[in-house]
Amino acid sequence: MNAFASIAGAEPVATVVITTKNRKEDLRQAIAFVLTANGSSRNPGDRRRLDRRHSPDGSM
Amino acid sequence: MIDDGSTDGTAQMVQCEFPGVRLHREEASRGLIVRRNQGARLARTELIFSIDDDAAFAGERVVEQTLQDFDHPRIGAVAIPFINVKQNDVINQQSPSEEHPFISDTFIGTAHALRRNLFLELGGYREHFVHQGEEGDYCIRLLDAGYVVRLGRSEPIHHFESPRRDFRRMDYYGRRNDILFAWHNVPLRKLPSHLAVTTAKGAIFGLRRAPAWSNVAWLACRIC
Repeated sequence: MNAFASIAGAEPVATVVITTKNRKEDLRQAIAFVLTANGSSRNPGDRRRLDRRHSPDGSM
Repeated sequence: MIDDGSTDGTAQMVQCEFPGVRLHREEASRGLIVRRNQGARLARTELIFSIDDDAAFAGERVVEQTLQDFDHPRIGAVAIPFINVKQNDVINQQSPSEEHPFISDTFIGTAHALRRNLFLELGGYREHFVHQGEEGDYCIRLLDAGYVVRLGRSEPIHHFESPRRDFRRMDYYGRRNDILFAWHNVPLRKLPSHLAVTTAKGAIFGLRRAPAWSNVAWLACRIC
């Protein structure tokens, strides 16, 4: 995801690479956090995911 | 997003729910080391952040804060602070100082950022490591090239270790790659003693983890 133009100016300076295999549910969370952290997501669902806090057992 | 041969509909989920994400799906699984190298080649930016699917940014400023850690040309990588959430609340690989830079000998694969061009110039991770230990091997080559790994100052990444981890596979490649690390990086005159100690430590570790017969049988299956 070339997603960090808002941080560094006109050109993106960083890419977040997520590697995955057969962990669809966890990946959904990981992507949502990256997008929201970047500020590039306009999806309210992503924001809701971020607003919830992790519990020690890994659930949200 | 690099999909290493998922069969659970991961790629379809990403395409459907996150259409803005650049997805590369591979039919065959070749492991995270190969895929991280692939991700570096596919990216076009100066810096790359690498996380696994069992990690999540705990705060909104992880990327922004980590970018600020690259404030010297000799910083080739940043070890981003992380917490193994299912184990404890200890923040790992975190700089002890906000003001002064601290360097490390390595970083964890699921929480780091790299200078991409430098990574590619140095050949990336050694793919014959297959699994485990590639980070330390890259970091020592980074140091040899005149660059360092800086301990990060950002908010931590939360690492949710997969309950489906194959510890036997991790132990096998972990010990195997300790030997490969020595072979690749230890000066020749120190190699015999280094290999002897590394092998002995690996054997002791293996015996503590599982009954000897179990390890021998598993190893025999792999060799055959």
